[in-house]
Amino acid sequence: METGLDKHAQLHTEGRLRRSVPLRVQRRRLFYILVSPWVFGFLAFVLGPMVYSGYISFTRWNLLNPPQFIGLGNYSQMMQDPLFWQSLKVTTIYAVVSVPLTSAFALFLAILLNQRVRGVSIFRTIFYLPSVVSGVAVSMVFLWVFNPQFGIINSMLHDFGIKGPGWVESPHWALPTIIIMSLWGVGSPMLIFLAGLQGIPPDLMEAASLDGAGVWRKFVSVTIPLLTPTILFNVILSIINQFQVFTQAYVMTQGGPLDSTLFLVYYIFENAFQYLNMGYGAALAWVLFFIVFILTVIVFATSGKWVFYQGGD
Amino acid sequence: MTMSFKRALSFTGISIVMAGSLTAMTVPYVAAAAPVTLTISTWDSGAGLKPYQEAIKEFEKLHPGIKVNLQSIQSQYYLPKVLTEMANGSAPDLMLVGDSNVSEFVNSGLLQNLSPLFAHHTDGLNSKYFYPSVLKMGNINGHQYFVPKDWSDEAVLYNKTMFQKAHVPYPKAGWTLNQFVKDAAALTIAKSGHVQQYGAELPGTWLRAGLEYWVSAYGGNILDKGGHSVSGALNSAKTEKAIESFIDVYRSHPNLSPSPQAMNSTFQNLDLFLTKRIAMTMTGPWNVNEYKQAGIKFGVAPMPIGPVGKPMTQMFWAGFAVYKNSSHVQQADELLAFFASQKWAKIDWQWAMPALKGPGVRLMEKNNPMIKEFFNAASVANPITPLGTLNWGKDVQPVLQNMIESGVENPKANVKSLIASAVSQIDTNLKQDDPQK
Repeated sequence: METGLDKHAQLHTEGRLRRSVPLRVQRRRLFYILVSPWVFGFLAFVLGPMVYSGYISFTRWNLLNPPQFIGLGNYSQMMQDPLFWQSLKVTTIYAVVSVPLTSAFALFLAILLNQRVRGVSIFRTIFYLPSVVSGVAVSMVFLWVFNPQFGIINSMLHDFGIKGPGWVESPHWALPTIIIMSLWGVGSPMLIFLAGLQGIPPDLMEAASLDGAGVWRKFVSVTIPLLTPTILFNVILSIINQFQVFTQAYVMTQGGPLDSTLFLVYYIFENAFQYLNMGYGAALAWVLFFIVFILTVIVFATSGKWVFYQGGD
Repeated sequence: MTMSFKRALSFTGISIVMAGSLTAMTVPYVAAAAPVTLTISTWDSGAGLKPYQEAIKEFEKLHPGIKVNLQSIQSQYYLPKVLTEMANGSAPDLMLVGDSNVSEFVNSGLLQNLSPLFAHHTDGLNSKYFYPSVLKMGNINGHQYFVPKDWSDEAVLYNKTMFQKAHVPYPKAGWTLNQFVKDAAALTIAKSGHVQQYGAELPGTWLRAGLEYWVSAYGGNILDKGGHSVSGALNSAKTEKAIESFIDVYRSHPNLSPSPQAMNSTFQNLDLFLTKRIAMTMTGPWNVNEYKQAGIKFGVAPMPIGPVGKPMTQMFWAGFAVYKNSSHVQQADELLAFFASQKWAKIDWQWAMPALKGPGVRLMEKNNPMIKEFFNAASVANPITPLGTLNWGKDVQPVLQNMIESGVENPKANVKSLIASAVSQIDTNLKQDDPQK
C-alpha cells in the first residue's frame, strides 16, 4: 500500500529528474545562444570576407564591372612588379629591425619598472600612456619632432653645430625614422613582460643569490629562461603587428620619398582603394597573410628548442 | 554529423534569423506620402559644407516634398566609397566628381546623360547661362554628364610685406618664369642651412599646379592625343626642357622652396602662406578669403610666362552628376537644376568661382577684387591633362611624381634618363590597362 510519504518521495525524485535533464539541455542551449553572435560575426565579417577575397584575388575587378576571372594573373603580375618587391623589401627590413628592437626595449623598460622604488606605479602609467594614444596623433606629432627645418631634434643638433638629417624627407632616413618611432608604442609588450617578470618565483632568485650568482648571472640564467614563454608570445604578436605597419606611411610619408617607406599594407591600400585594383590588392593581401603565417609557424616550430615552461618536462 | 554540431548549426541559424528580424524591426516604416529623400555626396568638410547647407535649406523651401541628405566623405576615401556604392546600387542620387576622376565615373556607365535635359531646358537647365569652357569640361564624348559646381584657375599669391622688406618689386602681368625664380631667390632667407623664409612654394608633386603648367609654358605635352601613350610627348624636346627647368629650380636653389618630399610629409597639412613662411605660392583662389581674414597683406599676380611667350593658367574643376539608377531621378534632376541656377551662384560665390555668368560673378568681383585676376586668366586656361587618359591617377601620375622626386633628390641624376625611364614605365602601365587590349 502506497503511503503519502512514498508518494511525496516519488514526486520529489521525478521532479529532480525532470529538472536535471532539461537543465543540461538548457545550459547547452544557453551556450549556443551566447556563442552564436560571435559565430555569426566570425562567419559574416571574418571568414566570409576572407573566402571572398581569396576568390577576387584570381580576378580583375574595379568594383563597377563584375569580377573577371584571370586565374593566377595577379600573382604572376606581382612577380614582375618592382613596387611589390620594393614594398616587400621595405616591410621585411622594418620587421627584421623593429621586432628585436622593440622587444628588447620593452623588456628593458619592464625590468626598470619591476624595481621596488617609490612611485613605481606612476612610472608604469607614464610609460604605458603612449600606447593608448591614437597612431594618427602620434604620427602627426613625430612629423613635427622630425621636421628637418623646424623640428626639435634638428634644432637641438643645430645648437651643437651638427647638421641633422632629413628624417622623413630623405629616402635614406625615412625608414630608420619610422623604426625609431616604433619604440614609442612598446607599452603593451612592456606590460606583458612586466607580468612575466612578476610571475618569476622569488625563491629561485634567492636560491641563485645564495649560490653566489650576481645580477647579470641571475638575469641570464634565471630571468630569461623563465621569461621565454612571454618572449615567444610577444615576438609572435610583434611579427604580426610589424608586418602590418600602415598608419605611419599613410600619415607621414605616403610611401615616399622614392618608395622608401612603401610598406606592403600601404601598397595594398593604394592598389585596392586608390587605383581600384581590387583583385591585385586582394592577391597582395593573401601573400602578406602567407608570409606572416609561415613566420609564425617557424617561430612556433622552433620554440620547443628555446622556450622553457616552468613545471614542464 | 554529431548531434552537438547539428545543434550548433541550428542555433547559429536561429541567431542569424534573430539578427535579421531585429534589423528589420529597426528599419523605419516609410509612408507612401512621406517626402522623397535625396542624398548628395561631396568631399568638402567643415566650413566647406556651409554653402551646401544653405543651398539645401533654400531648395527644400522651394520643394516641400523633397528632403536632402548631405553626405560628406573624406576626400581620400571619396572615389572608392562612391564607386562601391554605385556598384551595389546604393549610390548618392547626386554626386560631386573632381576633374581627375571623370573617366572612372563616366566609364562606370552609371551616370545619367544630361544632354537631353539641356536640350529641352528641363527644370530650367540651359547651357547659355554657363561659361562655355567650364561647361565643356563636363562633356565627355559628346554627352554632358556633369553640371559644373564651380571652377578655379591658378595664379601667384604674393606676400606684399615680404616683397617690401626684400625691396623686390611686386610681380606684374607679363612677368616670366625666369623672373619668378629670380624674385623667389631674392626673397629666400636662410642662415647656416636653416631656412627662415622660403622665397616660393613650388607645387612639387602636385602635378596640375606645377609640372603640367611648366610643360604647357614650354609648349610641350605629357600625353599623346589619344591618351594611350606618353612616348613622343613626354620625351619630346620641349617637354624635356620644361621638366629639366622645373627640376633645376630645386637643384640650383635648394632653399628657395620646400622640397617635394617636404610638401608630401612634414609640411603636408600646413599652409605655409598663412603661417607667413613663404613669400609666393602658385595656387587657386580657395584660400583667398582666409588669408584676408588673417590680416595678411597680399596680392595676386598672373602665372609667369614661359618660353611659349603667351599667358596661360591651369584649370581646376568639379561637377555634379546624377546616379542613373537612383530611385528618384526626377527629383535628383530638380536638385541638379538648382545647382545650375543663379540661386546657387549667389550662395557659392564666397567659396569658389561660379560656373554661371551673371550676379554670382558680379557679387564675387565686387566683394573680392583679388579674384578678378583669376577671372581674367580663365580665357587662357590649359586643357586638363588627366581628362586625356582613362588611367591618369593609376598609370601616369605616380610615375611622374616619382620622376620629380628622383630628380630633386639626386642632383647628379640625368633628367633625360629619368624621363626615358618614366616614358617606358607609363607606356607599359597604359598598355596593360588599355580596355581595347
